[in-house]
Amino acid sequence: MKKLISLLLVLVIAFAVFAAPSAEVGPKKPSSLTVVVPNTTILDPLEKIFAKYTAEVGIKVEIQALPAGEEYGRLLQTRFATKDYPDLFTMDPGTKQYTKFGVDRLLEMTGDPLFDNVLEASLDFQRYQGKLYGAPWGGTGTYGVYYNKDVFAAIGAKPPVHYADFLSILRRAKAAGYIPVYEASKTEWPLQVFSLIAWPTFVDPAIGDEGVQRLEVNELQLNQIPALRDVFSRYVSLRDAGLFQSGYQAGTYEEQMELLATGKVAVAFQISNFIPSLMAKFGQDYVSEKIGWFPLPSDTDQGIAMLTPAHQILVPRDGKNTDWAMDLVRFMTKSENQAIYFDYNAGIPVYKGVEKELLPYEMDVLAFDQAGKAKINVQNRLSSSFTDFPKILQNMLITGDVNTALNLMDENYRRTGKARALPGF
Amino acid sequence: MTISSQRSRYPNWFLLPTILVFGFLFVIPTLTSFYYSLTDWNINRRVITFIGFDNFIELFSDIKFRATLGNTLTYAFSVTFTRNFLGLLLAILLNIATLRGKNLFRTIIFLPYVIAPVVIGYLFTAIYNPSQGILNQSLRTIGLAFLAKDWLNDPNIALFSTIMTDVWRTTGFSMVIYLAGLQAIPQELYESAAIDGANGVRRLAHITLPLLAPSITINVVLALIGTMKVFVMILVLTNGGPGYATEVMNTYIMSTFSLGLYGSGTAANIILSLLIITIGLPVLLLLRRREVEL
Repeated sequence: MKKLISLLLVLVIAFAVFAAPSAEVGPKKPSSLTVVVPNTTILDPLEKIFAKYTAEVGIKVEIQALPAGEEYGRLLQTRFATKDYPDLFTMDPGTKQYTKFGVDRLLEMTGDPLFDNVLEASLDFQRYQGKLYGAPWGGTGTYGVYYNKDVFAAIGAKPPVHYADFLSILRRAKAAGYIPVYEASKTEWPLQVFSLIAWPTFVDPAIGDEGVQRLEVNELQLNQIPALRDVFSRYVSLRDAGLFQSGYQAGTYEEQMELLATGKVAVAFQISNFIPSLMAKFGQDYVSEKIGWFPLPSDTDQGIAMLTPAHQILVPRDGKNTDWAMDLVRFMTKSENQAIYFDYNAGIPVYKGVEKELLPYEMDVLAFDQAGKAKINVQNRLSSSFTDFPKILQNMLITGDVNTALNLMDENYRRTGKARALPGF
Repeated sequence: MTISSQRSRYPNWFLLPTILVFGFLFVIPTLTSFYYSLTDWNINRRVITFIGFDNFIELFSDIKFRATLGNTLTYAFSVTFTRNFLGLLLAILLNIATLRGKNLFRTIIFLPYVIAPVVIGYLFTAIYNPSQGILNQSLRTIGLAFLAKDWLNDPNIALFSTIMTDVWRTTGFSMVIYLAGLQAIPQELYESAAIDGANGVRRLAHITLPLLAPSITINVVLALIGTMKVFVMILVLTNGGPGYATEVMNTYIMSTFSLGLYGSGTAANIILSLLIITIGLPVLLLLRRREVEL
């Protein structure tokens, strides 16, 4: 009898333990989640979305903003190497982000319900070997030549119809006392923009998609592409012609924004995140009225627009709270929360059911895209990276040595591909 | 009791904790780093493969690395020479018995050395600002506007600016060591030389400098080793830029590690260690031999 009572007692205790409420089953609910973003991110929409999440789920979300640009990737790689994983982080688009961190270190998201709500075309550059490791975040954007409409009006200019026209506009701007081109050389990362926007206009037509595919598998070297050498030479010739601001080596992103918006600068080569940063400072109406966009023109026409896919949210596979991190990703990518994102950011939405009034420059980008005159940023079509590219260009502007820059770019590209153990490298 | 029997009272195993800690935290990592420098270890590789001297060959064929080596040596020799020259000069001046306020001057000159290099870096970023910085503003105020430069962004003078910042920071330290050396020189030697008719220059050449030889040795060797390992100052002031104008070994190593190229980064680190030994050791031996000769 005593034994039977003991057995029953054990069963009752076991039942009490294992038959706990369903909410307690599954991964332990953390008190907070950590989200890492680059420090160029506009935090207001994130703060609003995370406040909603905290109210609904009861988990606090801490934002860590790390220095943007190449340093951002490096800092995150270092954190991966030391197993100091954030719960989730935002990253530039493209599969190279997966190879950068290693696909076996990222949580695979293929088949997650959140992708049911994504426009299929936007996932084209996000599948690596048929698998998805990142959830799109934000909208499709563009790099390009951003210009001050007042300055253009003052010198009687319109968006250029070919490259010679573009140079002529810059010379007229200089003659009229404006800074023709402001380069944020000290900030470093903006130096890449000219070469990247020149790629669809000058390099893609020369090597075609096949050429890019050969680069992807290391059958073509960057320093063997004459069109790329030509792009670098055009960039150096802008400097030689005195079309950059004086003391351009000290140029910063903040000053570039300020001077373009206030009509001291004619054009700036920039990314689309530039626009929300300007809007945050000068207001949406002002920016819509004053700032225009055009692609880098070719020798014969207006050129090809360069599109950037939406950024992405990645989750480290070995993070402490992967299930809850995915829960937050799904929450962030709900249509109503995407709408909050677009209250503060530019770009063309990639999630279904997100309504957004396009800015004038976005209409121009869309027109190029619809006319079949737009290509995705080459960086997002390749799995290796143009490592140390800003520094290489900064050095090229100092020395004027195009060949050395090309060789370094090629060397770093192949070295990175080899380090990531990519096929062909 | 003899000295040797006194020493034997302390058993050798007293050394064991020190040897263990030093071995685990220094010797073993150092030896394994030699091995890793010969592998393709990087952030994406789960299996590390031995690749011989490939990392070293790759490094020496890299234009950026060669520029980095040149910058490191320029930086090291320039700072070492300048801070020792100024440190010695200041020590001699501030050792004059009759000088009033010398303790105050000594404190002021030594003060930058106790400030963290990162703080000094940020401070000088503001001082060197081309438009708002106090340096250019002062030059313009006193009519020397033609000397106002973009100190940290002009590739021709950026390295010079970082060198001068480090000289400003470390001269006080050299001065203190020279002062200690000067104060250890017996006054009788100077009095005797004065009686013999030796002027100031001869006293400096034949008494001060020879007897300061140990101080010179320690100052030069410490400065050389320290400056070849420079990192924080460059990182904060220029981050190795513009271009590669101020890239030094440690900033190069940091960026290589940041890229996840651990094998290559370790190889660069080995080269830096060998460089320090190759330059530091002969300088040390030369100066020590000179001490004996003097």
